Order: sequence, then C-alpha cells, then structure tokens
Amino acid sequence: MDFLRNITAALLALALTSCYEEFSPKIDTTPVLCMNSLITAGQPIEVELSRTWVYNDPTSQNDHSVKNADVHIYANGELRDNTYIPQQGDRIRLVAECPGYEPAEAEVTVPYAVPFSSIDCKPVLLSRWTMDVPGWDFVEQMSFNTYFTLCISDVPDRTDYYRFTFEEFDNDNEATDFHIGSFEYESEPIFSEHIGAFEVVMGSTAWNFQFFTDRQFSGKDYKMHINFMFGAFAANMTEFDDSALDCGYILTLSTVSESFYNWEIYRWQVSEGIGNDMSDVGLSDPLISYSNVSTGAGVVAAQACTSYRINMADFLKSCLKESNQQNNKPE
Amino acid sequence: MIRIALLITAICISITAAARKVTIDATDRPAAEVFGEIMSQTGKNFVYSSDILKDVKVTVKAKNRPLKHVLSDMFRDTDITFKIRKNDVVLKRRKSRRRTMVEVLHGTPDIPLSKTDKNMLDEIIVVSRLEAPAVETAEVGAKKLTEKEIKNTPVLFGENDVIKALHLQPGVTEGSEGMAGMHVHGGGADENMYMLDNVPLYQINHFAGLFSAFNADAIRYIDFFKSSIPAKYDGRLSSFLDVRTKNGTTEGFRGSAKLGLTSGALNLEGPIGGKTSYSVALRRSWYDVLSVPLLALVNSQNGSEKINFHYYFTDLNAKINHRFTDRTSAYASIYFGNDRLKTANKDSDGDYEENVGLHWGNFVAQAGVNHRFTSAMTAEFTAAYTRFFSSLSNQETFIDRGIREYSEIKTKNNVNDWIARADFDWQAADNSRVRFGAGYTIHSFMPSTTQRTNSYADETIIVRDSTRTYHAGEINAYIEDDWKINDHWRANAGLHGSFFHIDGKNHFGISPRLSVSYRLDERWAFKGAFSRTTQYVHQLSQSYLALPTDQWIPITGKFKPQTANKVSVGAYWQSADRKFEISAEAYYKDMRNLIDYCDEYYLRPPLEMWDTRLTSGKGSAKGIDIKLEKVAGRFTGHIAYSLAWADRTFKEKNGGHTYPARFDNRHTINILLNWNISSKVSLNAAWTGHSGNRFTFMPQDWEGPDFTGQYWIADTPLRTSINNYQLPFYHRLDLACSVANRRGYWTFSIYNAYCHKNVVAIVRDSDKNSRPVFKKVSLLPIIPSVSYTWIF
Repeated sequence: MDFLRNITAALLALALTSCYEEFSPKIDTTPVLCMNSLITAGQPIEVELSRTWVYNDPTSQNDHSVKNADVHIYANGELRDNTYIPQQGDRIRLVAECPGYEPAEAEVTVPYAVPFSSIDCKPVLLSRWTMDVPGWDFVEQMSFNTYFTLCISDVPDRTDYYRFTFEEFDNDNEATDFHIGSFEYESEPIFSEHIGAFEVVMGSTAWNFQFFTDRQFSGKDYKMHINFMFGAFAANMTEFDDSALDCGYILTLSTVSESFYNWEIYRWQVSEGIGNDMSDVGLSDPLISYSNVSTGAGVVAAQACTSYRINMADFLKSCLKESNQQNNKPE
Repeated sequence: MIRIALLITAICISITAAARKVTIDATDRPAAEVFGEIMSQTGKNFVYSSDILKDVKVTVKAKNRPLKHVLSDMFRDTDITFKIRKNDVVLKRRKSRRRTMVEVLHGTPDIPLSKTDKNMLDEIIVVSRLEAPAVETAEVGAKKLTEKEIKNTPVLFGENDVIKALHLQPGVTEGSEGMAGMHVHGGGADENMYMLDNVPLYQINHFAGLFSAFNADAIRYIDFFKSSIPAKYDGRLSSFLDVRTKNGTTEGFRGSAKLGLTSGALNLEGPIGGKTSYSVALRRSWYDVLSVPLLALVNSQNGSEKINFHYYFTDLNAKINHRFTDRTSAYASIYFGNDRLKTANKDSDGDYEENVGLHWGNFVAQAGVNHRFTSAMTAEFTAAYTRFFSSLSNQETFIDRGIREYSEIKTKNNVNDWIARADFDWQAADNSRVRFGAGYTIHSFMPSTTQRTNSYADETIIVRDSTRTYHAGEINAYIEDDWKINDHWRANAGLHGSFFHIDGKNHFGISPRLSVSYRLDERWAFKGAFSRTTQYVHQLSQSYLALPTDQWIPITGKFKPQTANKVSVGAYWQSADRKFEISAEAYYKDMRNLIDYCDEYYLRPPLEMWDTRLTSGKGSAKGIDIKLEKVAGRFTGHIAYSLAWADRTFKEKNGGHTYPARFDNRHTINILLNWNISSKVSLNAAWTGHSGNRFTFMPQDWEGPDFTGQYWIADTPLRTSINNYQLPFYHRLDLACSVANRRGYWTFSIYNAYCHKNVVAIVRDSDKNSRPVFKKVSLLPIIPSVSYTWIF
C-alpha cells in the first residue's frame, strides 16, 4: 500500500529534518572483476566483463571497462572454445582473467526445460463495434479478455525455478491492429509467493515479476491462471483478408538456474521490498547483493525455454462471423 | 545530638507475604522487643525516634487480632500515637510539630540534628533503599530498579520506560536510537527474558519499539540480572528482567491520572473489604486522535481520494490480592497490551478501495497462592497463560470497466504458553536460604499462517500457505542456596535443569550457577560468578524495529538449543557513610548454537521453512563495566563506563569469517543525575555516549545484469565484510524536570537536549549536481515533551 509507505516516509521525514549530510568515508577499496552472463540452452555463450568502482567516483562510474581480458569456458569440466553451444544439463564454468585483477569464476548448470503439459485458452468477447464505411469492406473493432489455464507438470526430486513470459504476434498487415491486453499478475498467486504479508501491507506488488519456484507443487501438477484483460483487435480493410486475423500470444515457460532466480529476487527486493527503505535509516541490515561470481561481482545464469504460439484467428473469426450475421452481411 | 534508633528489617518486597493479624502475649516487656515480634508476624517496619520509647515497657495480649487493634491496646495509656503507612508503622508523640525525612541505607545511621531541631523533632519518615548494597550480596551484575528510579530517568516523549532506564546501566546497549530494545553484554535482542511477575512476555514493545510494553505506573520494582543469574531463571542467554507489578493498597482508595503528549494513563487502587485489594493501571496512546486534523487536511487536498488512518496502543494491568488467613494469600492478575493500526484508502467514485489492518500484542493471565508453611518456609504456586498474537490483513478492491478485481492477504502468527509452577523459599538456617521449585510449560508456536485470495470477476483463487503449529513441552526445576559462610565469605550456588520436547526430539539443559563473594571489610568486597544459560526459542526479525511480522520460533530441525557460558568477576566498594558505591565487573561470555539469518535470507520465500533462511554459529563477548554511584541524598546518580568487545561467527554469514557484532560498542559512558531541589522540584539529566554502532558499509558498485530487459542497468553494491565500518561516536543529553503542586505534578522533558545529529546509517544519494555521494543519516533531533499527573 503506497499510501502506508508514504505515511511512514512522512513520519520519518518529520523526524529527519536536515538529517542527511554528505561525507566521504575513509575506507580502503580494491576493484574486482565483474562477470555477467545469461547462458541459454542452444545458443552461444556471451559474457560481459567489467570492474567495480567506488560509488562516489563519477569517473569510474562512467567507465568501468577492462582491457586484455580472457574468458575460458568449461563445459562439464572440459575447456571449450567460444563457439560452444550449451545444452540442457550442461555444467558450465566460466573463468575470466584480466591483468591487475584477481580472476573471476562462476559455475552454473543449464536447467532442463519443463514444457506445459496442457494449455487451455478461453477468450471472452467483451464488446464489438462495426461500421459501414462506403468503399471499405471491413471496419471492425472488438475487445476481449483471454483466460489461460496452463498446467505445469513439475519434475519430482529437484528444485525448479521458473519464469513465465509472454508477447504478442500479429501479421504484417497494416490494416489490422492486435493487442493482447494487460497481464494480470494478481490473478495468479504463484507470482506473489516471494512477497511477505508485511511487504504487501507496505505496498509491494508482484507487478512485472515473472519468476516462481516449485516450492508449493514440487513433483506435482500446477495449473497457472493467466488472465489477459481488455485485449483489442481492430481492422480497417478495404478488402477482407483472412490472413489478417493471424495473430495471438506467444507464451514461454523457462526453467532458470537458481542464480537467475536469486538475482531477480534481489532486484525485486531492491525496487519493491521494504528492506532497503529501512536500512536507509539504520533500522535494518543493508541488503547484501546476490552474486554467484567468486569476486562477489556479477551473475552467471542459465535458462532453457519452451515457447507456445497461441493463434487467436479462430476466435476472431467466430466473432466476426457473429458480427456479420447480426448485421446481415454476407460472410 | 539525638541518637535516632531505627528498627528496620530487610527490604520489604511483598506485602502479600506479610501477615496482618497478630498473636502476642507480652507483659511489661520493652517495647522494642515486642515490635520485633510483631514485625516478624506482619512484615511491618517500626519507625520511631529513640526518645519516644525510652524505657517504655508495654503489656499486650492478643490472639489473631488485627495489627491496628493490638497497637491501640499497646499505646492506650501513653502519649504515643501510631500510623500505619504501607509497610511501616510510624510512631510519634501526640503533639505533632514537624516532619523530617531521613534516608536510611541499611544499618543504623547517626543523624546529626541541631539543638533547635532536638526540640522540634517529632515525626521521622524513614525511607529505606530497596536494593541491598553490592558489597553485601553474592551476585555480580544484578540491579534492582524502583518505580521512582524509572520515573527519574528522562526519556523520549516523557514516556517513562523500564527498558530505557536500564539502557543507562553499564553493559546494556540500547541498540537502535530511541528504541526500547536491549542488548546486554554483546547479546542479541531476543536473548533477554522479559517477565511480568515471573511470567514471560514475548512482545515487549509498542509503536515498533519506540516504547516498551511496561507501563511504569503499574510497576513496583524490577529485578535485572545480567551476570549472576538466579537458578530460578533460565530460557534466555543474556539477561533476565522480572517486572513486579504493584499490589493494591488496603489503606483506602487512591489513584492518579496522567495526560501526556503521546498517551494518557489512569491508575486506581484500593481495598475491597478488609482482606482484598485491587490495582488497575490503564494506558492508551493518542496518536489516532492527534492524526484526525492531519488527515482532514490531507483529505481536503486529495480530491477524490479519502484516507483514514488510526493507530493506537493500549496497556491494561489489573491485579487483585486477597488474604485468606495469616498464612495464606492469593492474587490474580491480567495484562493486556496491544497495538492496532487501521488504514483505509478509498476513491469517491467507488472504483478503488484498500483496507489494511495490523494488530499485535500480548495477553497474560495468572493466578497464584502464597502460603507460609512455617516461619522458615514459604511457597508460591502459580498458574499462568501468556499469549503473543499478531495479525495483518490487506484487502484491495478495484473495479475496472465494470469488472471487479479483489485481492486479499491475511496472515497470523502467535505463541501460546500454559504455565504451572511452584516456588519454595526455605530459611534452612540463619545463614542459609534455599530456594527451589519446578514448573511445566506447554508451548504452542504458530509462526505463520497466510491466506491469499485473488478474485477476478467470478473467478476466485484462494491459496493457503502456512507453517504448521509446533507444540512443545518444557519442564524446569531449580535449586539454589544463598549461604553466608562467615562474616567474609558468601556463596550462592544453584542449578537449573530443563527438558524441552518438540517434534519427537528431547533437549536437555543443565545450567549451573555459582556466585562467591569475599567481603574484606565493611567497605570492600570481591566476587566471582559463573552461569550457564540455555535458550530454546528465538525471534526472527528482519529489522531492528518491533514489528508484527516478528516471529518466535522454537528449536527445530538441524538447530540445537543456544547456550552461553559466562564468567564474571567484580570488585566493590562503598563509602563509610554508605552514600557512594563503586563497582568494577569484568566478564567473558561464550555463546554457542546462536541462530541468525543467512546473508541472503531474503532469497527464500517468506513462508518457506525457516531452516533455509537461518544459520547456526557462535559468538563471544568480553568487557569491563565500571560504575560510580551516589545512592543517597538529594543529589543521586551514577557514572558508568563500559569497555566491551562482541563478535559472531556463522558458517553461512560473512563467508564463515568472524565479524564484530552490530552493537560492538567499544566504549560506553552513561551519566545519570537526579537532583531533588526541594520537595516539589526535581531535575534529572542523563547523558549517554558510546562508540558508534557497527555498520555494513558497501562503498563499491558493480554493473548488475539486465537479463529480462525490464530494468535499466543497475549499479549494484559490492558485498563487503559484515559490520566493517564503525559509525561516529554517539552521544546525547536528555533532561527532565518534575514540578509538584497540590494536585499532582508536571513533568517536562527534553530528548537530545543539544540536538546532536547522531549517525544511524550511511546511504547512497546524489548531490545538487546529480553526482553520487554518500550521506550520513541521523534520526531523532531535539524533542521536548510535557505531561501532567493528577494524584487523587
């Protein structure tokens, strides 16, 4: 509840009148290598290397690149070159070396993909607007909700971390416009499992957070309820073209490495959690950043993805048919 | 010079334990002798000037008669009158002229009076000191605080506070500024046992920790132990705080009402018939009332959005005492303290509504019987129930284009303890006092039960995500002997045994205790002590605040009971006039099986088994506490200095390396001054200064990856060693002034009188040119407050 958070901030502000003061702490620092990589099964490995810098050093903040660095890729214990394509189940170890820095290394296992065991799609037409325009064969607008029930059959005896993503696809016909609508994170509780009650009370939400674990359904089936609200389709065609209806959803279920999940939880805690707010005024320990790289800087993650293309053409066509019947238009 | 003879026995602790009826048969015996006998039966002290009873002999015969009648008979034919005040019987001649207040510090002091005074002197009120001088006891690191001492400590918002009064004692650290938490000799906040009349309280704070749950107006005194722990107590590692509440008076109805800036309090006490008395203390905060105009202003500016906000806390202490016979009395008491927060946020068009409710607190009910089997053996039988509860709820309704979306989260956690206990006190010999007892506690822990409801149009999904309830049984037994070996040596040896059964596992705790003192002479004493303590429950808290989400959980899974072994030695001195005392105590504490969050605890879902979020380790603390105290006179107070070290080592924290504890404050100085300028005006000042708290300061950044494409590239702090940075020296001065009038008294207080900006944290920010900078954060500035207490 942002309001509650605002009140807390207001009360603190009352107590904190003129209570911030700039200073430069005297503390020794040594820069270390930072290594980031997201390894996807079936795709070449890319690694980003940089170095750490002192927060209040604006020069380093703008340029923290490193030169003459080498990265070695080990797959299942064997050194590989940079053309290696990782596979599901591969144990990948990355070692980065750069003169003047301690080596940085990290290991991650590419997870096995877990496909949806069933997909149920239930679109519901909300409204429709048709217009007779001389010279135009087809002018139609409609809005709809789409309810998906996606079943995950979790593999027993292992911990899985999941990511659910979506995007829309449509044809290249400029006469039509398709929007999948807004995704309702609140409609599926699994996206909120990392949020404590107090955080909810303080206004933290699951919005835009796509990750979850199998903690509540380990080794069992779980049906996700995914709602897209107020999707829209509009067509302004001088001549009806059936292919113009070829549009819909691309739903992707990725199994991700623990490091990927942890990094995203950390990111959520920084942006939405209450720990940072409290540590800023000395009321809790600072959030310790997540890293699985030996230097403490960087994240090496992995994922395996399965995507599904849900074509809405049939639904759109049936709506149009109904529309045309009501308007006594020939199909 | 008149020599005042005073006859005051040991400290009066319990009115309930003292018989009021008298059986006596004396014929022409010296009055002082008869008083001694009456005193042993009633517990009353006799206070008089020696010239009143010079060569006075009395004859009295009574069997099980009220004290008042016996005294009336005794002095019928004399010019002596008496008045029974609480625990004292004050004797005086019939013609009253003048009252003199005399402070007695154990023993029989000489009080010089002028010749003029000699003729004027008539009545003497004797005020004894409740706490025995340290040179006379065997304990190390024990402290008894009276209601008066608590009220003489200036505090934030003028809310007298037991725990904040203890912050000024050496070896006790306040933790976060302004908060009522307590860290004793390098221990954690959950390692202190807080008890209300010997019954544990789990939640001891209001307003997220700004105030303690103990209403100072309901307190008679507190016992605080940090080094020598009486065998009676166990269950926490660092300290034991037993808050003793007031018994109602039988001398007639009286009370007080207090009106302060943040809260109000009402206290009533009095007799019910001749054998029963009651005491009620109620305190309630005003924040909800004070926030009304503020909210009205906000809502007037907000347009369509209306906000409601109510927060208050309440304490209720009620106690009733009844005397069945001279030997048997009973009591029953309840305590209910809670915090409640409600907020509501609503659009005028009804499309959006949000309601939040938080409710947490304690309930304690107990009943007990005190019985005197013989003049040497007394016992107390207690049955008690203590409950900690907490609930949070959030409901949100949103109507979008006619479709109703509803989400709700409800969570609860609670602890319920049922306690039965018998405690015995046996004066085995003139020089040996044995205390022993046993108890059984049924624990029930429900760390969290959460229900999430998501509803969209006609579809509703309810998810219940709960930990289960943990039931545990705990048996305790103890015995200790306070043995005065000779004029020089004194020992207190004891043993506390405990058995904790949970989840099919049995845990045993053997906690030996030993304190030995050597009294060189009247002024000097040297002591040594060893104590082991065992803790079966611990608190999970993600912040330094006391929040409703804090959970008490028992030892389960891979974790073992926490233990601490502590060795302490001390040297003690008191001045010849017993007004000054100096003590120096050194300690070393070794703690095992400590439990704390892992570095990355936040990565685990909040309702996952806590084992995955916690790690086990060890800690040590050592230091020296030095205290100079003036205990009597119009000007009293103390100067305390502590030199301390405290560290922790956890396998899954800080890479397994040892790191300093957050409250590893190397130097701490506390000065408390109380000046009774007159009978109506008193001034109190408290200055505290200590090495800054430890802080995990992360000066470097690295470039965080954007794997999802949803965020901008984030600068991420590079982890460092935990508590690697020490914040600047902390210091502040608090002042209070109490001014009495005919009806009551005003209390004016100033927190942080010279408005020192004490640094509590370092944050990342940017300057006016948007360049990244570090900034020091300070919290509480100067805060004045005022209250008025009406006495009736």
